[in-house]
Amino acid sequence: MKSAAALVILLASISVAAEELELPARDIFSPGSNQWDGEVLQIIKGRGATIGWYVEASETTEVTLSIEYTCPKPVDQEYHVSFDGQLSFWEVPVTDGDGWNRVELGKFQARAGLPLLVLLVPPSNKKYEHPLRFRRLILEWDPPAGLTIAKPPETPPSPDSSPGFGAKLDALHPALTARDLRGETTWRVSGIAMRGTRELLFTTWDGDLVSLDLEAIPPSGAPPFRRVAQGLSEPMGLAIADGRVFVTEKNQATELIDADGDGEFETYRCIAHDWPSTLDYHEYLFGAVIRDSHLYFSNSVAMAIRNTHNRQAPLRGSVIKVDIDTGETEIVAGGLRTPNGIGFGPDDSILITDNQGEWLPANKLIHLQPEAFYEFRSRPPWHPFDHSSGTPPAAWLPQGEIAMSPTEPVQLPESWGPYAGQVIFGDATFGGLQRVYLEEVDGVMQGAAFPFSQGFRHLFNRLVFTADGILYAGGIARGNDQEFIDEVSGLTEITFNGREVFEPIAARLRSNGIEIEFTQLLAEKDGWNPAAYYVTHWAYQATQSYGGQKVRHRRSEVRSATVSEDRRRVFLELPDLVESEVLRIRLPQSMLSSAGNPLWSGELWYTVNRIPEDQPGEVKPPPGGALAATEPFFRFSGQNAGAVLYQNYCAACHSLDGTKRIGPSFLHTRKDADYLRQSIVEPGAVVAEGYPNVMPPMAGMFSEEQINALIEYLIKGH
Amino acid sequence: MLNRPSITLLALLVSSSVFAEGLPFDRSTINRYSLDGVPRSISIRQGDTWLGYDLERATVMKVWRPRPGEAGLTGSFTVRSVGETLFEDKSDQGWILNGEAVDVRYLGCTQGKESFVLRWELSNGTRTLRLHERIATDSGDGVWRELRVTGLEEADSLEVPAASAESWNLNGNLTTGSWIQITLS
Repeated sequence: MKSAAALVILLASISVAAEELELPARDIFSPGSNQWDGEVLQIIKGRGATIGWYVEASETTEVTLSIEYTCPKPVDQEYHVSFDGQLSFWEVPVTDGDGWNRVELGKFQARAGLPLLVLLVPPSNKKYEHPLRFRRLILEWDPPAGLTIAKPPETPPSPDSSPGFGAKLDALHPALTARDLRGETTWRVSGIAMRGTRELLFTTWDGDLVSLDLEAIPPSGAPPFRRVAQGLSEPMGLAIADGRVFVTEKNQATELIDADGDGEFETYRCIAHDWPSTLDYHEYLFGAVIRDSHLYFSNSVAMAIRNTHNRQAPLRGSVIKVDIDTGETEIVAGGLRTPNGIGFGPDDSILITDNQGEWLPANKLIHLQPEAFYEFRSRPPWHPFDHSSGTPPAAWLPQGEIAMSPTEPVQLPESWGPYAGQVIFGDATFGGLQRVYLEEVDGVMQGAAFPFSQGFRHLFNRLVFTADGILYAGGIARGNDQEFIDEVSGLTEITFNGREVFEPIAARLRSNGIEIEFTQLLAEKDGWNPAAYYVTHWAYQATQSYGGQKVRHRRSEVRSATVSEDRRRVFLELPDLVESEVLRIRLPQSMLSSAGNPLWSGELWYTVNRIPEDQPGEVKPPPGGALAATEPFFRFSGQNAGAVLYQNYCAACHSLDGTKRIGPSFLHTRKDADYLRQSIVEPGAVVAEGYPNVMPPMAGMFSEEQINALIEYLIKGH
Repeated sequence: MLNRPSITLLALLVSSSVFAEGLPFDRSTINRYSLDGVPRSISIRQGDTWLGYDLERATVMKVWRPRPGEAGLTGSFTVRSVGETLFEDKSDQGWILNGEAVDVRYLGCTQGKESFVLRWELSNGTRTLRLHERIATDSGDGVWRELRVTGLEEADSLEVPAASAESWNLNGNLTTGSWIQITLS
């Protein structure tokens, strides 16, 4: 009987041919600056093109992906394929003659039930010969599974926005009191730490170490800043352990020693430099924390090479751990890009922020784990920790929504009331402070990011708490304009004043949805209506292109909303939770606390790395009258879409009123749509005189509708 | 993304005194930015002359004299030497211990009132030495520096990098563990 069954299976496997699905070049999302030749895409300039398709599988199956192409000359760098986040790299073989060549690009697992994004990604460096033409990709698989091309999910509309509700906050959090500690000198703070209980030390971009006796700060006027060291080389991190001072400089980790006790540091002891360096301007050592007599910091990757060979020095993008006594150095993790922040999180964990760009479709808050790889690459040889699948961040920080250049994370102390134990971080472009609630699900850290506060005089690069819970936040400027440096650099003292503020304080994932906790009781019968929660979700796929679009961005059904008995928590039943996605939850401005307070902010972004098993949230029927609504919770007029995009993505570098920032003001730019479109999609094509060519292409981050809305706002809206 | 704040020009001040009064590591006399395309390097002023060191080779790689009234260094976060070249070592040759090339580990530097000291560890896998180099603030006439090596035994042979051996006179025996003057010939 067994042998008969085996024979049937054998016959079946012989008789069933593999299925094929064609992914035509003509059906890709965007050719960018490349040219069509009938059904063929002639690639001239890889950057800007989005060569992608959505496919859907009826059941989980292995697929083989191939391409039909011609390439008469060698391509300098590999293409890569991202199939639902799975990677393969393709060193393009040169072809002879005009015929089409078909080669296999890789084998992938197609999971069932979701649109899966397939991307063919050109090399990311700018200057290379690019002779590739292709007309289709082909998927092959064995029956009985079926695969079809899926229509790209329609991007859900954005509800109308206001600060804290779809748009960046524009004011100081009511529970915070801020004091600008500006002196006669504008300090560009690059590292900060406390030595003892009353001495604040900070490094500056200009290479100084500055001391401030906190008890000597006068009630008004300039604080008594005192330079105690100088000549540091681009320091970007400062840590102190048992009175010993450690600085991460451009190319080495250094202990500053004042052997004669005269208050000035005359010895710069190099404790480690065991990683290659080049002259690239963007190779820094970012941040510094000390745990168990080891200094932890990150080394960033080179950027100027993107315009040429795109080869990183070995071990760039690593987290490095150095014994502060012996100098013994260990590479802890890899795959970082611009990790401009390291700090402690819950349970003595180490957190790192990283900035959106190549291989980072959004900004990240990373939970450091040994031998993890966080996905940034350039080209072979790969980092020793490079894995085919990267380690996801604890929290994605979507570009322009909650972060743009996240900086140092710190954990809030006990004295910060309801926020104690949570993490805040600054941002060198987006500004303000953002707050993150973290939890562990199946051993993996994940959590929710909340807008916390704007309204400070300058941006924050480095943060430190005193033992009394007072926060000192230092800012650093980019560019060379002194007016701009004065505007965004400096030092601010931030005190938690204890004022009670109504806002979402935490979000915890359940097997069937998410529970949102509030700082105050909800008004009676408030919170029960599922229509009061606008939830969207999406995934990210890291590629060698700069940034990235939201993948499968779609609206999530909110099947029910259940308010807890103590009216501090709402459980949202979400039937279509998917792992490795981000949930964005908007709350209505009409939501009130029991005392009648409106929400300070009403949105959060939760990163779903794992969905907990057997931990369902409780679903209850709403009390009578709780679903009544006289006004819609959200409006979708679309009127302020352009303004929100400008505020979230552009305002940090381009003013509307002529104020000089990193990029030219829109007051002085031409007001024609073609120019503005080119400036957004391909900003390097025309660079305004007197400004650096530093803006990344935004085509991969905006939908066509968003680009149109932004252009319309820039032309007519202000 | 933290993009190049480094565009800011940092004025390289010309100081009339050799080591400025006040804090150590005044950039007019000690510059720790990358010199002449060598990422890990340092420039030290001795009188009217600059000495540039390749910290990963533990050796002086350039000696130059600025033109009158000029600082001798130009650039911002990476600097270039400007002036009359008195010595230059563009090779990748390093120290040789008992016939073997050594691994070099830079240990740091100290600015004293009248001199500046650099420290390295040299190792060939079986032996580990400490190399100290002292550069006087004011050399009087000529260009000279001092070396001291600890951990050497009498039977050991330690050779300075080849380019230095050709252009510098070593006035003593390194095995003594004492400071030995080395003068630019």
